[in-house]
Amino acid sequence: MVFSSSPARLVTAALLVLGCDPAVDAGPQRAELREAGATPGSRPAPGRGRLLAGERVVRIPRWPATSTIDHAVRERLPAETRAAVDVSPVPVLVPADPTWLARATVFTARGQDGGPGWGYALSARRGEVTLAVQASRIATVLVGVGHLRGNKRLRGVDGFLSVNDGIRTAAWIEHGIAYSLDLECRDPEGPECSDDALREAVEGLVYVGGLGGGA
Amino acid sequence: MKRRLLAAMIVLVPGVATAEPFYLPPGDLLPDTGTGLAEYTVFAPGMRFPLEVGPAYPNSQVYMNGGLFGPPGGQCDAVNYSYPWRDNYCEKRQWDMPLCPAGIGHQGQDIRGPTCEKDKHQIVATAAGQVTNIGSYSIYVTTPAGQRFDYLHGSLDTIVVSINQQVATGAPLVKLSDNMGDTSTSIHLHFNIKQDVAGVGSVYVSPYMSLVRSYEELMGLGNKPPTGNFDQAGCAALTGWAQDPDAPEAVVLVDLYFGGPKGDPNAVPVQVLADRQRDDLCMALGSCNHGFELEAPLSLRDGSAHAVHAYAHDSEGGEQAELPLSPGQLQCEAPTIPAGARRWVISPESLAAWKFSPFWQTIRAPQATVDAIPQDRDLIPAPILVVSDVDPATVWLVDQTFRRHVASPEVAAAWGFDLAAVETWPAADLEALIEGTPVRPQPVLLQGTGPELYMLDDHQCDPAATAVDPLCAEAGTATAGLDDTGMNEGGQISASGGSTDTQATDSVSASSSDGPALPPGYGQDGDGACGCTQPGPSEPALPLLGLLGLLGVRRRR
Repeated sequence: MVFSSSPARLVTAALLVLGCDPAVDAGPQRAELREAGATPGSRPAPGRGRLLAGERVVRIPRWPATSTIDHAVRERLPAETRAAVDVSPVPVLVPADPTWLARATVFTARGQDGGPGWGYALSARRGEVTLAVQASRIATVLVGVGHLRGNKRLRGVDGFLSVNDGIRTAAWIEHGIAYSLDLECRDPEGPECSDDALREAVEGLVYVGGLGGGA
Repeated sequence: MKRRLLAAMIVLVPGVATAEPFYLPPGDLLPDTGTGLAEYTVFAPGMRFPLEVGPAYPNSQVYMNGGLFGPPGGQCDAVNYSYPWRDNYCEKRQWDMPLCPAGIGHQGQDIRGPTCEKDKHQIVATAAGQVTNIGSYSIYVTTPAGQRFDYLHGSLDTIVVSINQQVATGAPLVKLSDNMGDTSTSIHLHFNIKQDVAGVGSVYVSPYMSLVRSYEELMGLGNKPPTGNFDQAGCAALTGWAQDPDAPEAVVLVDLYFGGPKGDPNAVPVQVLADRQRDDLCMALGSCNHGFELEAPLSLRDGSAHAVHAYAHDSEGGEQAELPLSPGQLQCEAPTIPAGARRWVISPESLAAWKFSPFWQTIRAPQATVDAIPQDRDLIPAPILVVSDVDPATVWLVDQTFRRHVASPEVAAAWGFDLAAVETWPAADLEALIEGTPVRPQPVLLQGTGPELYMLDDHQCDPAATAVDPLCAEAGTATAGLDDTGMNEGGQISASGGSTDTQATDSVSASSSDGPALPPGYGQDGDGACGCTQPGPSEPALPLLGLLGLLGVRRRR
């Protein structure tokens, strides 16, 4: 056996001699692919391989009644933010609390063809606290992930509450759309980023329109 | 044992930063730090590594030297700045993380830079997108596909982007630091990938293998690239071969990107093993098992040309190589749409519960063609499988007021039914349901130009209500005009928009309609998969009986 002199190959070769498989990422992945394709003794049919990052599907929004639009909150939004709301392909939820709205921006995604994109993102700031809402109409179907219900009640539906290095985050599905809200404080332990504050922010979102909203 | 040895050898060999293996497997957390997720999925194929330059050392900030629950020492200890990488997605935390085995855990991956110095190393955008939020210590960038990348703990003074700014892949964002608002943390980047997952909603997915792949590309190895050929993107199969000259006997992975090159957010990547025996390669390569063959996806059999790019993996972690003759063009005639009615799949959550794959199982057709197919009741949100307490061998799908026979383990497998989750009902409860048609051999989905996805199915007729049900052909039948093959009489429709074929047929065949037959396995002529060859409800399916005997069944509470 001839080894090259590179350190990488020395390591690889040594591991092979010792019975270790250096391709640490290949075990389950390769076994799964083999099962998908090969049948001993006969020429196997073409396999399906493995979808690498899942596959995207579109959520169809269930638009709330036009009568449920909170016009008072909507009118408080800056004009350019209202314009972004009106082209959102999903129902737009924003904080009702006016102290959030003074420094709120809404970004509405556009598709590559100029049509509706994945949804919208809202970023708002109140003092040293940042609130971010993201709403998605493009879901990824992952093999092995079925329907997982959250164990918290948020806005009348099941959802999830989590903390991400001090950033409080909530996720739920409403109007057929996947929403999440992140609350980030300069003082992650402060009362404005408590679990209660997160819940209050989530429950305080109101509907202000969107492409199908008829505002 | 192997792992310790591996780690020790890597530490001993200098300069191995660019060599494999530089990382421990996904899900392999430090002992007693939670239950990891062995997730090999690259959720962000083609992403760039989030640090401008290497090396980088992803590992735990809490359980390594100097961490809150780690061994004595400091965060800057050399052991924290050494290989191998260690996954810490799902590391022990107390908060919801639905995709983690324990349902709780750490949301992303902690990454140390080349050195333990703050405000020196540049964090860059892993993909092009929009800056959608900047917090006290975070920056969010969302791609045009809606995937969000979170970069935490950069120094506020070094931020070079603003909210709503469009950034390119590799664009500078902020410098690596220890910023966590009023408190500080260790010097590291906390990196998340957040996306909308069907069945769950917006969740953090494992970034580990995306980081591994992007790091391999960032560092490179300078070895010989893999070689091969993308022979053809044919409708029977997509075929080719690949080999790595540095490991000529080894089997390599090939990634096929449908609809665009690697890095295109709209491309759908599929991974296959190039491990098939190809006699024509033996002499030329000195090794035979390097071929690959992939089924052409049903959703792309729409008469249009679709670019398919093929890339072979380097066995030593170097950059993937696009194979000669790539991209190919896949252009297949639209298949015949099997007869039946369409049932709306009401949400991505339902799609996930049924384990459908739109990519592999969907026929795409003009909207008018879809509209011409009778619309039936919505598909129930999730499959409910039952057996009766007097006949545990016969599995039924409960479909609203109907029970429908699952004729064989093969049918169950084709639908992805979990036979371990079959409920046992009192026979009287089950028999109170109307017996409908057997579950079709394999699911076929249908989509027009809109987002609505439908499943093609037999319409179920309630004998008591047939007179008022326009989809039921005649009184007294439980199915809508089924012939004795289990297929509907009459119309199959070409997905290319051809007119409805109203001639009665015993089975669907390419010659009886405008479009070709479905690929093997979709229950058409020649498959042996149509209803006529399967045992009926009164005829126990022996393989299924054996399978259920092994599995046992859950008793209904």
